[in-house]
Amino acid sequence: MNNFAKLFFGVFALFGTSWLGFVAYPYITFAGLQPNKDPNTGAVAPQGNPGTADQGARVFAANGCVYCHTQFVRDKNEGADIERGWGERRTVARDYMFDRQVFLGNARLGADLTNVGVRQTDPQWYYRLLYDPQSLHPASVMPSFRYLFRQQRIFGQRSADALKLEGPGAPPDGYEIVPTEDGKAIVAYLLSLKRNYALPEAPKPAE
Amino acid sequence: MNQPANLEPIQPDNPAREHQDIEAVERVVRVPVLIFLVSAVFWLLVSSCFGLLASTECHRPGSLAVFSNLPWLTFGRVFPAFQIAFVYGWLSSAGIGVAIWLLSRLCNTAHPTVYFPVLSAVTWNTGVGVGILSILIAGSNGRELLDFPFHTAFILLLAFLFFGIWAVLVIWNREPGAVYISEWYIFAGFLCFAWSFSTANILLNLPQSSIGPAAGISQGAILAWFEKGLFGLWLAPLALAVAFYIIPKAVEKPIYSYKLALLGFWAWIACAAFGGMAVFIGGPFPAWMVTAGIVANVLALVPVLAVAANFHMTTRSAAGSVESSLVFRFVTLGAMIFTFYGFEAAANSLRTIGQFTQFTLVVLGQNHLFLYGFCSLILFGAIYHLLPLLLNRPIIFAGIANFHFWMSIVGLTMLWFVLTIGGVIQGFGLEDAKVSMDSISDLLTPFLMLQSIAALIIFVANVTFAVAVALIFLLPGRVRSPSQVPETSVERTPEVTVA
Repeated sequence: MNNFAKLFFGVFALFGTSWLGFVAYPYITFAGLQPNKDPNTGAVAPQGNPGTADQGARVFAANGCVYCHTQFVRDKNEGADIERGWGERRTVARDYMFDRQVFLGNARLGADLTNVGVRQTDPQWYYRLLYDPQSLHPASVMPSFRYLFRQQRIFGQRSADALKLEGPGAPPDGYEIVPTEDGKAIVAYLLSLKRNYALPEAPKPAE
Repeated sequence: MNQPANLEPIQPDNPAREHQDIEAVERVVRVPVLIFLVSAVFWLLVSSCFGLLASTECHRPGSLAVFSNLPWLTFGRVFPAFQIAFVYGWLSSAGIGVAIWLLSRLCNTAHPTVYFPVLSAVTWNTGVGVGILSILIAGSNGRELLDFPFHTAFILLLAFLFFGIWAVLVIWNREPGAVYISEWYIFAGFLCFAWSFSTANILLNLPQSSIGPAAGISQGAILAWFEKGLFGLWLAPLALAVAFYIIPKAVEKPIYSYKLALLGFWAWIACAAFGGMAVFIGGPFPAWMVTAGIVANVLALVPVLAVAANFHMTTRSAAGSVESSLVFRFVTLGAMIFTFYGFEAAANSLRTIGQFTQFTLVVLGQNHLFLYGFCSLILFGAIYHLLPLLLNRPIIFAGIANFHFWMSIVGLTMLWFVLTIGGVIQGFGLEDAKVSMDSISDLLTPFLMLQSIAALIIFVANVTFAVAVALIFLLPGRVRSPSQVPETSVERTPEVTVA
């Protein structure tokens, strides 16, 4: 190889082809997806996300949740995800069409979160998990996110979303521990993770 | 290395090329190269601290409850900070520094605009610092290896532009003649990094605009393409450029086969460009995207073996005389680990194996093998080669450098085994729905503890490296003469070059 021009065009052609295939193609194709309308019931899926969920996605990103939690379910013949109850069907491109940020992830030190909003519907469960993960899962390596909560004096009635803590971890009398705005947002986001509707390209298994 | 200086250029393609101005070339690029190398060592120390902390947080989250009130010390921020400091701070800075020196030496031009690389070094380090601070303070943006906000990407791109202008000028003013293998790799790495880094940041990191962020699931494809490009077409070419320079030089023989090198180069560029999507086996993408990634990662064995065969044949008959050279040991071991990594990456990309390993610690072990075993070891060798040369003084305390070598090998070996064995257990657990996530956590606990011990050993190795580098700087300057250059230095004969 005697000149840089050959080198340049060779590398340009190879990397350019991969750019077309793995950047330009998905960028254009997946921007044109449309939600599915069920011809029988008229139900539209997937639906857009509420604003609080978008805010919560930012908190989810900022604290690196994606380093231990994935958000995609593989088909039955490609893994045990469905058997584990992480979803009824595999996830497909349309499942993510309204997500401002997609967190596929590549590590499962924790559970897959594709459908966590289906499995756990009580905000209190999430608050407890974020505040003290080991109280729910003693061997878990999940860090505690106490900075998503604050302690405040109770005026009159207890706040509806105050943590129900007992024993040594409980706040002193007259005080309560409540989630901050970020804490509420991330739980709203996790509650919104429900990909349990049927899509023609990924039908649910017959019941 | 005990023969007298060989004054003949040993690259067969261009016997007429002479290098009379090597000392002058070195003098001109000395300052920017030193800034890059020293800051790289600094970021290596920073990332070692973050890495050790992140690892510790993995096995005793409860006992570190004090951290739970400090958002900037949570695992989810410390871990990306570790990765960014390691990849952009240590590997990229060291790689660019060595590339500046290699390019000006191989092109035999020291273009007078040395301000560009100095400016590049200062800007690059500013970018890395700002990036790490914003991850710790404001949080990651949840995109692996791209965790910093767009302004950081902009600073880094600016630094890269300064480096690029200088590189183009140097190439433009080069001495006529064949382009050496190291130059191919540096050039390709430079082109691909500029391309993939700007694409990924504009399409993923740019705050709401008409072109970004990319819609829905295409973000996953773009990120995977970028990450593969970052590893395979930026860090790997930098390390291979060093290996293709140091190995023939250390054994004082031309590279075994130019054609094999050509095959290895083009096949590697092609395979690395298409291999990204193999991480999403079973993911929500059209099947051809993932299949293309798997095929590319398996085919990558061709260039991996071509490169390995070339190095092997080059060094085959000279093994005895260079065994004691520290630089040579670092670089050849790094090159061997590249071969091993190629096999592991191909195996983990296969659907049958990937099904068990794709979400586990095995992947982390494979990445450490690449980043520490391959790239870092080769760059350690390059720095031990360059610093004495640029500062005109020998490595006096060879024992310290030797200790660094063995500690990094022990630490890396332990880390890889711990993560791979732990990861396989984790993988079999995950694939058996009867094993609860809690019992998998239980099974992993001892492995995560051992991971911290390995991380501690690597931490000690890195600190030893920093001490060795500091000692080279602090020692009084000496006149370079054959009698004073110890066995640990390849640079006994600065007149010999491979190009």
